[in-house]
Amino acid sequence: MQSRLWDIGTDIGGTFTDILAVHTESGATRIAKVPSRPDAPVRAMLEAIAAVGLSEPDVRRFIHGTTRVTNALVEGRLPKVALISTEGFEDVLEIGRYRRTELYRLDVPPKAPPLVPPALCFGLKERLDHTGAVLLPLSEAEIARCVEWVKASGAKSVGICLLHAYANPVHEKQLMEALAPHVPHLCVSHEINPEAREYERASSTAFNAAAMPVAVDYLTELEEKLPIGPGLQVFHSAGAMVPLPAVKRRPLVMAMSGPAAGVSASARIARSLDRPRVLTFDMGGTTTDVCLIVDGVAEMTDTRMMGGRPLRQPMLAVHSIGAGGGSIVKLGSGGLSVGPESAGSEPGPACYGRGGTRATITDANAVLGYLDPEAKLGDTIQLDVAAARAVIAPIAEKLGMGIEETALGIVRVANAAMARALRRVTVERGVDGRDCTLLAFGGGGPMHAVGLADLYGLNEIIVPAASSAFSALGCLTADFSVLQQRTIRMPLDDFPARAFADRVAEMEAEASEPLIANGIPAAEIGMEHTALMRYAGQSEAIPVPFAMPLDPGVLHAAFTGRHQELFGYATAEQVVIESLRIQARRPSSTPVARPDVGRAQKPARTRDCVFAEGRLPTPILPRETLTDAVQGPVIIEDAWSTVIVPPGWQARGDAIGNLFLNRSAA
Amino acid sequence: MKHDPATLEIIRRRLEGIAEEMQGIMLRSAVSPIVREANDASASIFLPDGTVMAQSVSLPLLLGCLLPAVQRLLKQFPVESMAPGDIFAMNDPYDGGTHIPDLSLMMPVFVDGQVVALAGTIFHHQDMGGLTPGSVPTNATEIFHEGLRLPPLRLGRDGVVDEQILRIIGVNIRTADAFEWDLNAQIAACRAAVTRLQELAARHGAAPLTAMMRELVDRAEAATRAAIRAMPDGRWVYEDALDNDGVVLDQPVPLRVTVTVRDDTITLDFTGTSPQVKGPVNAVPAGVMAGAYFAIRAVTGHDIPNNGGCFRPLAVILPEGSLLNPRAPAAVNARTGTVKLLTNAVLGALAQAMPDRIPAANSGVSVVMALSGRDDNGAAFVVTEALQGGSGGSAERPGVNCVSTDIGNTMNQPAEAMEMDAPVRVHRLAVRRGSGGPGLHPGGCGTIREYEVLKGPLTLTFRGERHFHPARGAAGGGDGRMSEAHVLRADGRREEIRSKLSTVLQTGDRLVMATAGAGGWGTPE
Repeated sequence: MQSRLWDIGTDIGGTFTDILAVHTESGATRIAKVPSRPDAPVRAMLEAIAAVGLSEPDVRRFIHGTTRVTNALVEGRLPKVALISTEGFEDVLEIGRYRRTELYRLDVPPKAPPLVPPALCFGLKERLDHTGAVLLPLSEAEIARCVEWVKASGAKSVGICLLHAYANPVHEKQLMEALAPHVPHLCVSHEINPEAREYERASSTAFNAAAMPVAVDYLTELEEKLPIGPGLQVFHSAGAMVPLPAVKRRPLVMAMSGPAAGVSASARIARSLDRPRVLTFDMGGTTTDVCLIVDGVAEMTDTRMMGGRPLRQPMLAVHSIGAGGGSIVKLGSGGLSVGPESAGSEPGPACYGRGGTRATITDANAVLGYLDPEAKLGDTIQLDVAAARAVIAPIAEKLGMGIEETALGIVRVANAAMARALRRVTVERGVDGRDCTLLAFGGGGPMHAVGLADLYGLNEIIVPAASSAFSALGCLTADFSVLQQRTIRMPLDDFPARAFADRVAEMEAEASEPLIANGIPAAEIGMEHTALMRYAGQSEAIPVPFAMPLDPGVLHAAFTGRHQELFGYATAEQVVIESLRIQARRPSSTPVARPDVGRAQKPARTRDCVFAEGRLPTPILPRETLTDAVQGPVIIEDAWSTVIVPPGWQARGDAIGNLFLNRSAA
Repeated sequence: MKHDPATLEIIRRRLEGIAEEMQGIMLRSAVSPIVREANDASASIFLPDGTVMAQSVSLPLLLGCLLPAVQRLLKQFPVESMAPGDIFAMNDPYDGGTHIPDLSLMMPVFVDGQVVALAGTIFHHQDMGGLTPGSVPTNATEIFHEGLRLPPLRLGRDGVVDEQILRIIGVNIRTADAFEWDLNAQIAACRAAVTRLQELAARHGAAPLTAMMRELVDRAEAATRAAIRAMPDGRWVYEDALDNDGVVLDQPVPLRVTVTVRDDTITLDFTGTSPQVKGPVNAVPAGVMAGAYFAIRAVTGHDIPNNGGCFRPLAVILPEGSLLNPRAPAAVNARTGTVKLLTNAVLGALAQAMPDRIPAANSGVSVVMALSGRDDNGAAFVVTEALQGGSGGSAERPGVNCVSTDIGNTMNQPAEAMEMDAPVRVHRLAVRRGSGGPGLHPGGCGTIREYEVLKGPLTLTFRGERHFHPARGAAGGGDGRMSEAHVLRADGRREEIRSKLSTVLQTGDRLVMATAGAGGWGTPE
C-alpha cells in the first residue's frame, strides 16, 4: 500500500493559489493554479491539492507560504488586542517617531491608526534600565491589578512590551505567567523582537498579538484537514520552513512568507548554477518584489513597513514596490508615471474587458502584441486589445505620439521603476548591480526582464523552470530553519569572551529546539552565526558572519572591511557587537525535476509585435519543446507565463526547463 | 517639449534615487544622536549653476538652507576653479549659512574635465563650540557666542580633508572626534553621488543629461506658474508673534507678512516684522527662504517635480536689520521657531484666499532641547531632541497628533537609545489629549515628555515656542492649547519655563514638557 508519497508546496496569493507537487520517489512534478479564497483559505488549499490530482492521504509534507494573516491586519481587520507597556509609555504606538514621508503636502496624511487603540493600552508600574538592572521591581499587587484589567478589557489577545526587556526579560516573564490563564493569546516583546528602541519593538509585538487569533484559528483548521503532523509546515519571512507550533506563537514570521519563498528558490538556483550575484525579479499584478542573492545566500533585513507601521524581525531583504501589471499609468507635469495606484483584479486592466477604463502596464503590453489575443487568462478572461488601445490613445494624443510609441514609453517607465528597486537593494549592500544575473519569475517578470536588463546594464537573465509557480517551488526546496536575533551590546575591546560564548550557546539551543521538537536529529542541524556590528557612536549595525569559537581580531578585520565597502571609510573608533543572529538549519529533502504544467501547449505560430526597432513578425514558441538557442525577436510561452525576447537577445533552454537569455553576438 | 516624457521621468527619478542614496549613507554612518536617531541632515543634487535638481526626502528646512549655501560656495569657487575631489564647505550664517551647527558641504561631479553637477549635503553637527554644548545657546546675544564660523572654504582636495583646517576646528569645539566622523559621513555621501552621476552621464552623454535636467527645471517652473495662475489674485496680511527672543523674556516678537498673488507670481513682503532682537531667534535669509520655499511648494501642489524651477516665480522682501534679515553680529542660532512661524504665517495669509485648500495652523513648535555633560571618563556628550506638536485640521480631515510638520521632519529619540547616551530616565511619552484646537475637524494634539536626571550636573538648553501665542484655528475652528514646560527640582521647587531657558540640572531634577496643539478647522458641530 503506497501512500503519502507526495510533497506539496503552495503559495497563496491575493488572486491565485499556486501549487506544486513532487513525487518523493520518482521526482515527478505537477503544477496548477486555482483561484484564492480569502474567506475560506483552507478549502482553497484542498481544492489546489485536487487540482494536481491528489488528495489528503497522498500528502507527506505540505509547506505553504501565505501573507493572508498580515494582509488582514494591514487591511484593518483587527481583533480586540491589548498592549501592556511600562507606565508612561502607553501612547508609544500612537506617537511613533514623528516622521512623515511626503514633505510638501499641506494636509499631513493621517498616520496608520495604532494596532491597539488607546483604551486598550495599559501602563504597568515597573522599570529597568538599559543594562537590564531593575530600577522599580514589578510587585505582586501590580501584577494583580494588570490581570484584573485584562480580564475586564475583553481583549482576545495581549502583547507585552516593557522598556529595556531586550536587556532583561524578568518582568515580561513574570507578567506572562500571571496572565496566561486569563487570555487566549499572549506574546512578549523579548521573544518577538528582543532588540532596543521601544516603538519598533512595541509595534512588532502588537502586530504579532493581533495576528495570533487569526493565525491560530487558521492553522488549527489546517491541522484538522491535513492531519500529517510534523509534515505540515509554514514558510517564514527569513526564507525557510518552520513547524506549526512555532508559527502559532510567532505568526509574525509569516509576514513576507510568499515573496520569501520565491527568493529562497532563487538562492537554490543561484547555488546550483553557480551564479555569484543574482537579483530576483518577481513581478505580479500590483507589486514587484526584488532581492539580492550573494554567493547563494539571500540578503537579510531587520525592519520593513507594513501598512505604515514598522515590523522589525530578521527577514529576507525583499524590497517591494507598488508597481505591477495592473499599475495605472498617469501623465503629470513631470512626464509619464506608473503606480502605485492599481486597477487590482477588479476591474483590472482595460484589456481584461471587465470595465477597466484607465491605462495600465498590462494594456501597454497588449498593445505591443506581447500577450496572446486568443488566450484566456485564468480560463475566463478574453484579452481585448482594442480596449487597451482605446485607453492608451488619449495619453498618446496629449503627448503627440503614436499609440504604440506611447506603449513603448509606458513599458520603459515601468522598467525604470523596477530598476530603481534593483538599485536600492544593490546600493545599500555595496554591490555593483551590473555584475548580477537577473532571475525573472512571477506573471510579469519574464515579460519585462529584457527591458529591465537593458536599462540596468545586466547581461544575463534566467527564467527558471516552474517560473509561474516559483514561490510554491521555493516552499519545497528551502531549508528547514529557525532564526533568533537579540541585542547584546558587547564591545570588541575588552571582549567578554565567556559571556559571549554563553549567549551564543543559549541562542543556539533556542533556535534548534523547534526543529528537534519536529523530529529532526540534533546532529543534522547546522548553525550559522552573524554579528550585527557598529562603531560605538553609530546606531545602524551591519551584519558580519563569524564562526565559533570567535576570534575577535578576525571579526574586527571583517567588520572594518565591510564598513569600507559600504561607506568608503573606516576608523580606529571602538567597535560594538550590537546584536547576535543565530540560524539553525537542516536542508530540504524534496527532490525536484522538470515540472509538468498539466496542459497541452499551443503549436508554434507567428504574430506581429512592436519593439523599439519597430513592428516585427515574431515567432511564438511553446516553451516545452524549446531545445536549441533561438534569436529574438521571439516570444516563448507556457501555460502560465510569457517570455519576451526582443531583437538583439537570444534564448536557450536546459534539460530541466530553465531558460537562459543573453545578448546575441553582434 | 524637447525630450520624450518617459526618458525625462526616468532621469528625474534616478536623480531622486541618488539623493536618497546620499541621505542613507549619512544616516547610517553618522555618530551624532541628532542625526543617527533624529535624521537632522539633508542631501541634494545641483546643476553647475547652483539650481537644485533633486532632493532627498528629509527636512525642508535644511533642504532649503542648502540652496543659498551652494550659491555662496559657487561665488567663491567658480566651477572653472574646481578640480575633481575638491571638498567645499561653510557654515557662516552671515555669509550664506543658516545657523552654526549646520555645515554645508559640496563636491563637484566631473565628466570629461567638465563639471556637470554638484553634490551637496547639510548636516547638523552635535557641537560647533560657543557658550553651551550643542551650540544652540538660548541666551546668546551675538554670533560670537554661538560657535565657530567657517566662511566658504576649500576644505579638502582629492577627497582628503585639509589637516590644518581640521585642527583649527577640533580645538574650538567640544566633540572633535564626533565632528570628524560625521564629516566623513557627509563626504562619503557626496562621493557616492559623484560616482552615480558619472555613471548616469556615461549612459546618456553629459550634454544630453544636462539638457534634460534643464528641461525638468523649466517644466517645474511652468507647472508652478500654472498653479499660481489658478489662484485668485489679491493681497493678504497675516500677523503672529514669537513668545520672546530667549533673552528679554517678557516681550513678544511680532511678525507680519503681506502675501501678494499676481498673475503667475507670488511675493512675500515681511515689512512690519520686528526689528532684529537681542536673543538668538533672528533668522538669516537662508532660513527664511527655506520657509518660503516650503510654502510655495505646498500651495502649488506636492506632485510637481521638485527642483529649482519651482522657486523662480517667488519674490521675497526682507527689510534689513529685521528679525528676518539681521545685521551682524546678531545671534541667530534659534531660528527654527522663527522659520516655522513665518511659514505658517504665509500659509495663514493664503488661507484667507483659499480657506478650503489650506489647513488651520500647525502647532508651530519644534522644541529643541539639548542635554550635555561629561561621562564617567570625562568625555563630553550632547544629546539633542526635537519635540513636535501636531498638524492643523483641514477641510478634509482632523489634524494629526504628534507629527513633524512644515519645514521640520526630524524623529524623536527612543527612550531606549537616549538612556544609553545620557544619564537620564525618560518617565513619560504621551499624547497631550485635548490640546488640539476644537473644530469640525479638530487640530492635532501635542506631545508630553518627562525626563529625570540620574547623574548631574547636566547643562540644559530649552527652546520652546507657542507658550504665549496659540496656533490659530481656521474657518471657525478654535485655537490649539499653548505649550507648557517646567523644571521640577529634586527638592520639590517648580520653575516654570517661559518658552526659553538655559540652566543646569542636578541629580533628581525633572524636566516636564508639553507641546502646543494645532488649530482646528471649521465650526464645531
